[in-house]
Amino acid sequence: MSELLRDQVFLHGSRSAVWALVHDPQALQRVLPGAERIESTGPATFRGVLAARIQFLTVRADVEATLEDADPPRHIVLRFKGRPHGLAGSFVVVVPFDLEAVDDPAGGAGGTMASYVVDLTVTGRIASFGAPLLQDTLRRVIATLVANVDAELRGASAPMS
Amino acid sequence: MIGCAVLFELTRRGVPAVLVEAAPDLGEGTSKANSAIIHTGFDSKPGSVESAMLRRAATLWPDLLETLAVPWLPVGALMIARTDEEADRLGTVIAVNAAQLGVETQLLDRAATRDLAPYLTEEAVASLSIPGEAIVDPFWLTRAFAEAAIAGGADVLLGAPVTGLSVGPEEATITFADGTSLVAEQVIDAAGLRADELAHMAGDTSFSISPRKGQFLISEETFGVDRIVLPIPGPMGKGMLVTPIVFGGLLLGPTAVDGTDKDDRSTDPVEADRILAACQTLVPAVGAMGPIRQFAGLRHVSSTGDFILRPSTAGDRLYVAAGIRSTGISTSPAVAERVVDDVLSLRGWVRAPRKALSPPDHELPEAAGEVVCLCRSISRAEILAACAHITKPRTLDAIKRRGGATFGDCQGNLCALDVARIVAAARDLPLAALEKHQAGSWLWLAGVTTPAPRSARAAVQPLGLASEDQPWDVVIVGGGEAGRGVASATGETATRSLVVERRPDRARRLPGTLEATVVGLAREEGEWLVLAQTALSTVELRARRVVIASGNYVEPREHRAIAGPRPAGIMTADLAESLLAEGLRPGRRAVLVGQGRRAAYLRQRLESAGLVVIGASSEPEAVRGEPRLDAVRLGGKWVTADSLILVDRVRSQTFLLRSLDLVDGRPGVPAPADTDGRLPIVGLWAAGCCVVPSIDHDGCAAMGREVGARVARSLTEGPPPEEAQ
Repeated sequence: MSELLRDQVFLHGSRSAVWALVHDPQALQRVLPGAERIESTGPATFRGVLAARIQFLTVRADVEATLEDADPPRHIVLRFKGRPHGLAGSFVVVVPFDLEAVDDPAGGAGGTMASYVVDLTVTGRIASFGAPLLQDTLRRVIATLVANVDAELRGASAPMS
Repeated sequence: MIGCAVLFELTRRGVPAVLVEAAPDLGEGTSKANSAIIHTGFDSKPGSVESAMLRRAATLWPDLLETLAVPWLPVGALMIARTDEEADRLGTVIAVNAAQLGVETQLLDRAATRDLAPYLTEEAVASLSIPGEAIVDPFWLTRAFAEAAIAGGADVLLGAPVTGLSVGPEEATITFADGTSLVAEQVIDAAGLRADELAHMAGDTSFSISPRKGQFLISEETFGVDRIVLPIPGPMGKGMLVTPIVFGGLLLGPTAVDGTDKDDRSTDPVEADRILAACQTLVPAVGAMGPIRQFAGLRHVSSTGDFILRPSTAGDRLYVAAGIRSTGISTSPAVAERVVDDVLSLRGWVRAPRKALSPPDHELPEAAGEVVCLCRSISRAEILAACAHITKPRTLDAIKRRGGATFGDCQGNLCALDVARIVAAARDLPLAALEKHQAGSWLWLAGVTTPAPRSARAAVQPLGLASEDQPWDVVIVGGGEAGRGVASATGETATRSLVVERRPDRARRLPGTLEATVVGLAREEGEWLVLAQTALSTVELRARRVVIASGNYVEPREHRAIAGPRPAGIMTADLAESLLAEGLRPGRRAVLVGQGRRAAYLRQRLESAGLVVIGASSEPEAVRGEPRLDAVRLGGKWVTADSLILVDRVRSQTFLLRSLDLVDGRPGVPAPADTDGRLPIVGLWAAGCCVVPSIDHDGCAAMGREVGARVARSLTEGPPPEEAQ
């Protein structure tokens, strides 16, 4: 497992709104880049199909997602375990989130500061794509995800994929 | 690269066009052998055509890279000053030049340099950061230009060497080697090193092109290098640099030697040492690298000293795009734009707005199929996807550049035959008709015997495997001598053990074996999760203990200090034995390097297959021949041979341990087991040639049994600390 990214971002919504979003499969399907299908399989588990663009190749993967270590509404860990189609191997993405209620740095209504770390473990073929390319891909996915989550919280439609 | 970029631009502008290429695949010349950098042109000569092209291209790349969907990374570069004089030159000459050209740079002092790149030499007193420099996959880029053009209606003729060119007032005519011809309103000469020869055919002797050879080294280990590191440039170019590769690993080089032979892509160990010595002065850690490959590229140096972008002196129905020396990748979109603008003006063709063109997407089917390339875990589905590319690749190297197979540590010696089978079936060709890279680069010969029919590969799956509630006590990765030894010893104590073996012949000899390739290991909740890829599916196995018994592989030529070109016909015993088992012959006359039982048995089999075998006890100094091996130099004498078979040195096969950080990216690092066979992660063991690569079959079997007995005992001694938690 290697840490690929550590960042924090201001979201225009309350912690409870963020909390509700990550537990809502329909909302997750809207905000997760490349989410083609997500369904709930338990109170804190989901499964679905995600399509990620690794620059030159669209990798479609069967994914199982779990929400772990929940400390509502302050802390939660998202764990995605995936099997890419057509490629031998697997990936696990673990994203611990810490949520803090804060004022909007731009002077608007209050919101949530989400601090997160992205850990990635890959085996098989995906590992041979090389860490720099995977890191670049994951950065793009996370940037889109964050923008989509913020848009969802603001009530905007048509998030990016 | 330039030809494909021009084809792309012509097609975007609505001009019907055809690309004519002598080689069987695109990018077989300089496009496949370069430093793969997209330069900003920060150090280019102001006022030159090259500089103008670099600056224009910098504005085109951002959209183009996304449109063409090519692998690239905006890593940036650091130019290193190692003396105060160099630091002064960075600030007063190079940074000023960059500013004049509008390229963003930043001067960094010693401390800031080390903060940004701690892997640099301590002698670095300052550096110039150039954040706009990027790296790209040059194969992919060349192909993407062409594939996008084909998708837009262009044609590509591969394997079509031009033997004649005449330029008239209304048209130009190209003649091919087979006597056929092609008439066009406009011909563009983007023949790279041969651009002058093509122009000469039409009577244009206004320029010449000479080759400047650059040799490179590739390492899978990165030593932490995350950006391009380059020295202050000299008169022959940028000097030798260290750069990451898009798909991982490092590229070191190039050398720069002016020559006259346009076919000389040979490499030599002396230059490899020179590259390592030069690059160590930038990044000291690269001195510990184990190169997996050395290669050479030939830059096109024009007699004018600059790019030549103009109508031919033979008539403007021929346009020359030549002398695109070391910045061919970087300038390609701008050169293409300039060429097409000029041609449209010359012909008075309507300037159509650019069409949006992209190469077809390369999506994979859901099922991966069996793993074909072990080093990189490349599946049958990926090879088939590579075969399905719109450019219809036919050679093994063409498949390598599209799917990655044969690029890894073993350099194809473990998988070339399996890859070839898939390609041959996809192209409806006999196996012996496939070639490596060029016409005449035959890989092997049809045999004198008919091979036994191969049964369809199917996973041998023990009953209940997929629905096991209980974890296996032991999963053994590898069914060779060591793996069977482990299985035998653990079986004596009624331990539930499972062998996973990728080779069908071995898997089917050992009842209860899972025919699959292990592609991943992970420690989860006190157990090992073993991911095994069968021909049908991915199987997840849980195990209390895992024993790695993945064996060894013969060290390929690419890891060795053997001078010469890279023809077909050089292989290890791993491939030669596979060929013989398939009923194929590696060649007619082989030099066999190595002694001992395996070499003796292989010699016997080769001779039985009709080969003349010349034995050699030590590694040859050099090889020659292209596209097929012609001779091998042994002890200072050239020995005629069409095949070189290496069986003298082996390396541990430990690819699987890399993702666990138990071995680094250098080829063949042995599994770091202690004297009991334990690896430094709880519940993980190793036995056999993956620990000690050179032990023989009996030694492997004995070690397997010893380790197996210890593993069995460990299961009865209670859980290790992590499992007890």
